[in-house]
Amino acid sequence: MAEPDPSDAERRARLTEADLRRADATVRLAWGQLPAAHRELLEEIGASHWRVVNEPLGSVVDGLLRSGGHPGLSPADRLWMDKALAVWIGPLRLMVLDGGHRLMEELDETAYEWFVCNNAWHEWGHALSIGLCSAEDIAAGRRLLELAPEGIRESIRKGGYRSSQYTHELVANVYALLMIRRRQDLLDRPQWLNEEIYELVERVTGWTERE
Amino acid sequence: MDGEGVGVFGVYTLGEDQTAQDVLAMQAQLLRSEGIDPPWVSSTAAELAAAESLSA
Repeated sequence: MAEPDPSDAERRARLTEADLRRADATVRLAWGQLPAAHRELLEEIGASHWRVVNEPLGSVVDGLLRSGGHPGLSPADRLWMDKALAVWIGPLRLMVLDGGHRLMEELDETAYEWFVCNNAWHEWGHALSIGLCSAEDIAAGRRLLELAPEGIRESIRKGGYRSSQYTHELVANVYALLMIRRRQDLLDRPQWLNEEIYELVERVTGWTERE
Repeated sequence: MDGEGVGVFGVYTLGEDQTAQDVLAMQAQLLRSEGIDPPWVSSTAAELAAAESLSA
């Protein structure tokens, strides 16, 4: 296990409570913009809670799992999640978001809002769909990734995911983009999105073209 | 990622060489391809881009 990065710790120490409140308020904004049916479903299954923290997420997730009586993360998983912007923790039905992540620095106010909303929508995309992807959907991950727009495909490939995670990541990335379009009253299938992928997202997240 | 049960976690992480701006730029490109102005591009930046395209 690598030692914590002292420069990252110093940078985080400079962040204030107001910085974290800002991130939390932005996640709340993103929550309020989800389709009502999705909010209701997440509430019904006890998956409507989130936590904004100012620590690398591998350590946070490991601690939350252990304190909840679950096995902790392997050292490799913990190290990998330390770099994450946000994590949906299935066993705890909880989203955690790194409100002090270095990638959120130097964004202007508008870009910050959209990026944090994107991260939250991505995770709620996981929360809605992760249990509804079939073994066949997961097995089709490599093929589906080839059908995805190049930018999404490359982003997933660079993220260090295993091929068994490709379908989940594709669904979450597309869900966030559909939410971005939804905020502009666009509810139909985007022309840049392959029909098979759109149908998968509809099926596993409950996305509809209705308000 | 190793370990069992990875399917119960949804982890959003970027590549070592990727930034938030890269993500927003990728999304902006998709939106622009269907004629939508990405909302996170400030009006000033959009006006500058429009001015540049006019003068080109």
